[in-house]
Order: sequence, then structure tokens, then C-alpha cells
Amino acid sequence: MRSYIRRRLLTLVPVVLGVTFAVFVMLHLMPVDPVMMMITELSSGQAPIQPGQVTEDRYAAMRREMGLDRPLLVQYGAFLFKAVRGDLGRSFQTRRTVWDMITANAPATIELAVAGLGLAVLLGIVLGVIAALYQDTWVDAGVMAFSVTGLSLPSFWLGIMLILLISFKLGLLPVLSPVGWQGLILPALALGLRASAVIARLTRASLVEILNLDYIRTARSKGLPGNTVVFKHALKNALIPVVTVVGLQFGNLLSGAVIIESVFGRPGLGSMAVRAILFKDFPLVQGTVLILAISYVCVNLLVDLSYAWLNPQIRLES
Amino acid sequence: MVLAIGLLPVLMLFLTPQAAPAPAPAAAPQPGGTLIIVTHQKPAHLDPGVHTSRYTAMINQNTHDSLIWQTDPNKFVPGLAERWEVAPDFKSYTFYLRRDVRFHDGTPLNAEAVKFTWDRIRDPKTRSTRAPFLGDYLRTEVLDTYTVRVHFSDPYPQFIQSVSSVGLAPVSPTAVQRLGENFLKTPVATGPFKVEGWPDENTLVLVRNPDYRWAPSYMRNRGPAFLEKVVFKFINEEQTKTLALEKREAHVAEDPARHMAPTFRNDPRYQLMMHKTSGVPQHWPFNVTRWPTSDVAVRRAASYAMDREKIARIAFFNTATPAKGPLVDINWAFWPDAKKYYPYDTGKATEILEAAGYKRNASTKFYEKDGRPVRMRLVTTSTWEQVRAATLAQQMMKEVGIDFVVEAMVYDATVERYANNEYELGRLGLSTFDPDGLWGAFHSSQITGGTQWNRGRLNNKELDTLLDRGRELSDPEQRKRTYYQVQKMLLDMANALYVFEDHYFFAGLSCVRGWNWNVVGLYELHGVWLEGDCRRIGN
Repeated sequence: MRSYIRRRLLTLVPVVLGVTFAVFVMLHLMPVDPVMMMITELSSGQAPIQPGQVTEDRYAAMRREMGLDRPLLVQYGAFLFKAVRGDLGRSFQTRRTVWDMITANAPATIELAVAGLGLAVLLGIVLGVIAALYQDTWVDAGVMAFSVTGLSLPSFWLGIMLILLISFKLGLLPVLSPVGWQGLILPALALGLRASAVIARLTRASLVEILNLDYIRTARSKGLPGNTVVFKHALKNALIPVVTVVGLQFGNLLSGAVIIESVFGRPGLGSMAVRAILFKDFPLVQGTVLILAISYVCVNLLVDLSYAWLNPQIRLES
Repeated sequence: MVLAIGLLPVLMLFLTPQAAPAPAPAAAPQPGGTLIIVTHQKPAHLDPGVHTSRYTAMINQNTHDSLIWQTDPNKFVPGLAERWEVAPDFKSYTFYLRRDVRFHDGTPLNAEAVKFTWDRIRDPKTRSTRAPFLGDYLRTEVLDTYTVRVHFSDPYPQFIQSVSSVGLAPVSPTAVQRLGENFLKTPVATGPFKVEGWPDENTLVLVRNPDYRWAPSYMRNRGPAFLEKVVFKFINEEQTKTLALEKREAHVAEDPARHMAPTFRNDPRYQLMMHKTSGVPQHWPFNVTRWPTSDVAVRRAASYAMDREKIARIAFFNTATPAKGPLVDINWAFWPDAKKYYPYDTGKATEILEAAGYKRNASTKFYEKDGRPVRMRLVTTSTWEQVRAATLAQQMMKEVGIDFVVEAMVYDATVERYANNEYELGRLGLSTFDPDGLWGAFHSSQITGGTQWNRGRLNNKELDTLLDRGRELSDPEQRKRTYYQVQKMLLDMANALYVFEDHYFFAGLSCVRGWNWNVVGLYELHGVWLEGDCRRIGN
């Protein structure tokens, strides 16, 4: 087990290198550089604005101060060298350390992603089990129709509709997300509904397959109660493929959080990253991508480790 | 089922009645209450001495004070400085400070604090984008506790305008040293509001400065602000901002859904708080180096073909006004005769093209010359206002036989197209108070150098000379006459399609009173108060 974990953690290295290099290249391929972004933004600020005062010398000096005058590979190497020592640099825009900004914004995103995932898993498994148990009835059809709908609705639209219906028309929750669990309900629903649809379909299919196996037939013929057969003997095995999907869905939820955070005005990594990209805040984008890549790999490792718990017969190769 | 789910919210819209509290009648200002503003304009930080964008300036206007304040073009009144003197050569300025001003941390405002502020801005370690506003700065000299003199190596007549901006507003040296990096998020200045903190990354809270007694003379409220608190909630989505306002969870929304403008205008529960931005209006400069926009006849014809009134009415729901020329009409150097140029006249447009030898193709209906169709590509940003305006303009151009192609994309992509000279029309608008914004938009040095805002690629020596003269002169009347000549020259050459004058678009509950925009287009919350049930929101 330990060697398996060690090997998996080593895969972090190529993943992180690949992802950060790709993002680095894409950022530098964009035509407008961060200095020009600051000057342009400056131009829409308070008067008097005298564009000619931003001379070629001043522009060159700003690029030098931000380290943008060095060759690209040197810039990338410097980023990696500092990142290994825990220094992700400073945001061009806010001047705060990237680490400080990530730690300030990450809790809100994690909270939202966990709430969304929890809701997705709960709703998805419950609906999937119901559909499997009432296979080929109108209940099954209803659940699958809900699943198709959930997959089809864009989370952006769903978020706005939930605000319009639940907050504005029915007045059950405020429009502006309050602090605490109340502020999580609608965003988590908007975020998790799509994932719950995927989980519901997979749970249903997997459970239907398991329920047709010989050992389940044996359990039933021995006179075990139906609930025991389903929840003690069948469901655990049926959840193995579902666990894989849950791990993958976590990545989708993190990316979905970008949209949901914008719609509901919630702070978080997603909205921070979008703003960083728009303003060419290179250190902040690179630092955020690095942390998200590491998180994604670690979550998938946890998912794989959970297989062994679900079914001890699955051995993790050494 | 999918259809039912999709229709359900629509049905709810029509079935559920809206609450409609009647607005209270106007009354005297009442202290107290928390004003909640929802906006997408989240500042990167709050220190105007480091970097100022519009996002920062709106908030800083209420947390910082400048030494002097601008009330009109070329008119300034005392602020933190009771009086000032300008050297005849414009190489030094002396400010005599008030003696009763305290920073938010209780430390006194004095000459040392002003020197500290400006030296900090010029210090390369600060990496301040405000440094150019101190021109060819030499040093700041402390003459006595409350008298400070700034020196420049070259004449700097515009410094009087620069120093009226909050970008050069004094900050507390004690706080800068005590707070270190945190000063960027919670600056300490002298304004009517102080920064209480950021409860989360998307919420900023300001509290009233109870000691504030040094408001400039043009403000009706000379004491502390009426509002106890101001809460900014930063929300990107315009629908969410609009719903928060309609649900009365916020008092003011910046840039709510534009199609709601007629509702907010006509419904007594709301008010529109709009402010026209001065400077160079939104326009589409013709690229004079590419055919057919290199032909002045084509440019003039296109100018006559565009119905600006219709664009302002339809594309913007009457929240923008038609542009009249190279400057917005509220700018002090706006040339009144600019309004006479290029009224909407499709007959005139086709007449000009035919007189220049263009012939209409019977099958495509577009004009052409020597087999080449009159086809121009507008490369613009894919913001809703640009797309809407461009789409309407496309129809108008088609009517007069001009093939007007709209290519809307993200800002970065437009910059690349401009740099590669792959367009016939660009896009630009500059929010500036001083007409010197014309220099940035039309000087030949700005085609490939500097900000590269001369997207029309005008390379005209006479124009350059006038633009240079405009920034060298100090006498307002002489500057105005020079800029009149600039505008005439630009309009005579039909250098651009001047489309619309943008407005800051705010909507608020009608119980928010005393909302004020200053002359440079920033809102001042010092005189705002809340009436009636407005005071219960947020408490």
C-alpha cells in the first residue's frame, strides 16, 4: 500500500510540470502583457489621464520590475525554483503573496465544492437506488428523466433560475448569499445537480447489474430481508464504479465553482482565477493552477484508495 | 417534463405579485443607516498611491482627500490645503495645509506626511503606476510643519489637475509603517469614511469618520457623513445585482441589467443615477492605411450613413447619448460646431460614393470600384454594448451599399489584430477629464509606440503639432482654441465613426437621497442619506 501511495504521489511531478508549463505558455502567448493591462485600466480611472506620460522608458522599467523582461524559460524556471520552496510569488494586481490569496479564497471554494459534491452524492445515490429497485416502472422513468434534465441544464442558467424562483419570487432565501449554511444551499444545488444526474444514472446501472448476480440470488433464497440484501450485500459493490465518477466529478465541481461563484457573488478560487486571467496576473494564475493540479491528483488518489475499503478483494498492486 | 421545468420559472414571474412599498416623501438628511452597494468593480487593492483604476478611484474618493478639489474645468477649491501658490515657471508648487486634519488613525496631517506620500509614490520599490502623475519630480520640501513645496525639473502646468486627484492624496506614514503589506487592503487616510475591513474576499465595509470636519466648500454637508456604514458587495453577474436591488437587499446597483433601465426610470420606487463620462467617446476609427477606409469619400459616406440617435435609443435603452465628435459634449474643450458634422442622411452617403466613382453592384447591392467591393471589417470587443451598436450599424451601412463586417472578440484578440494591421475599423473610447486624451488617441507616436491607441493609424504632422501644443500650453483659452482646431481637422478628414457617449449606469432605491457625482465622474457618499424603510435594509 505504501509503495503504491508513493508511486502515485510521484506522478504529481509530471502532472504539475505539464500543467504549469502549458498554462505558462498560454499566458505568454496572449498579446496583451500585464503592464499594458495596468496602463489600460489606468486609463479608465480617475482623470487626469495623460497616456503620453507612460513613456517607453517607464513601460520598460515596469516590465523589468515585474520580471517580464527575462527570457521565457528563465521566467518559468524561476517560478518552479521558488514554488518548490513554497514561494509562489506576488500578485501583480493586489501585491499580496499568491499563497496568501489562495489561502484566503480556497476555503469558500472547498466549502462550496464539498457541499455540492455531498448533495450530488446523496441525491444521486438515493435516486439511483430507487430507480434500480423500481426498474422499468414509471418511477424509474421519472428518475432517468430527471437525470437527463440535470445533465442538460447549464449550471449558469440553473443558478439564476434558482435565485429568481427561490429567493426573489418565493422569498425563502436571500438573493445575496449570506454567511453560513444558508448561503450554501442554492449554490450547492446549482453546482451539484448536474453531478447528481451522472451519479444517479451510474448507480442505477451498476445496482441493476449487481442485483442480477448469483450471490444476490443466493442471499434472497436464504430468506434475508430485502433491505439487507440491497444495502448490505449489493450496494457496496455497486458503488465501486460510482466512487470513480465521484472523484472525477470533484474536478468538474471545482471548475463549475467558477461560474457559480460569479452568479451568486461568492468569493473563491474560481472567481479569483478568472479575474487573474483577465488581468494577466501571471503569478496568481500559475500559483492557482499549481494548487488545483495538486489537489486533483490527491483527490484521485483518495478515490483509488477507497476502492480497497469498499472491496478488500481489490488489491492495489505493489 | 423538460418543457414544464423550463416554463415553471416563467410562470412564476407572472403569477406571483410584487411587493410595492410607496416611497417616503423627501425630508431633511438623517444620520445613520448602512448603504449597501452591489457592484462588479472589485478593486485589486485600495491604495491609490500604488495603482488606481476606476474600480479603486470610486472607493478612494470616499476614503481619501486631496490637497485641492476640482469643481469645474480649470477651477479648483481648497481641500486639505487652505491655499496654494504656483511658481511662474510651473516648476514648483507650494501648499499651505489645514491644521485641524487627522488621519483615520488619529495622527495629524502635516507637511512631512505629504512629503512621505509623494516620495513613496516615486520610490521605485513601490512600483507605483501613479508615478507619472508627479511628472519630472525632483523632491518635496518641508518648509514648516504645515507648508510643503514640490519641485519639478521641467515645467508642469498640469500638476494642479494631478494633485486634485485622490491618487496623490496624503496617507498616514505611521500606518504605512505599522501595517506593511496590509496597508494595501486597509489604507489609512483622511476621508469621510474609513476602511473597517473585508469580512470576506467579496465584501468591503467602510465606516463613518466621526472626526471629519474638513469637507471642501462645494459640499453641502460640512461635517461627518450621514451614513454610518457603507457595504460594497462585489458580484459579477448583472442579473444577481438587479434581483438584489429589486428584492431590496441592496440600495444601489452598479451596472444592473440594461434592459431594466425603462423600469427603473418610470417606477417611483427606483431612481436612475447616471453620469456621462467625459473624454473621447466610444468610436470606431477608420484605418487610413487600408483600402477602402483610406479613401476619404468612403469615410464621409459611412459617417452620413450612421444614425447615432437610433443606436443610442435601441441599443442602449436610452442609457447612452449619441456621440457628436472627437470629444464628449460635456468636456470643457468640446467644439460646439462638431454637432453640425455628418447628420444622418443616406441620400448624401450614396451621393458621395457615386461622385467618387463608385458603382453599385446589381446582384450584391454593395458599391465597388475597379471590381473591389466597399467592404470594411470592424474589429471590436465582444461586450454587449459594442455588439449591439455594431449590429445596428451594419444594417445602416448595408442600406447605403457598404459591406460592414462585424468581428467581435475578446480584448486581447483585438489588440493582436490592431498590432497586425488586420482591420479597417478599430474601437476606442477614453474616459478622461482633460482633452489631452486626444493626444493618446490620435498622435502618430501612439500607432506602434506607447499605448498604441491610435488605431486609425493617423500620421499627420499638422495634427501632431496641434496635439503637442495642447499639452504644452497652460492658458485654458489657448488650449481650448487649439483643441477646437484638432477636432475640426479630425472631423474634416472623417477619421472615425463616433458612436456613443457612455454613462456610468447606476440604479437605486428612491429612498437613497443626496447621491452626487463629482466633476471627474466619481460618486461622493459624504452627502448621501437613507430615508424611511431604506434604513432597515442591511440592519
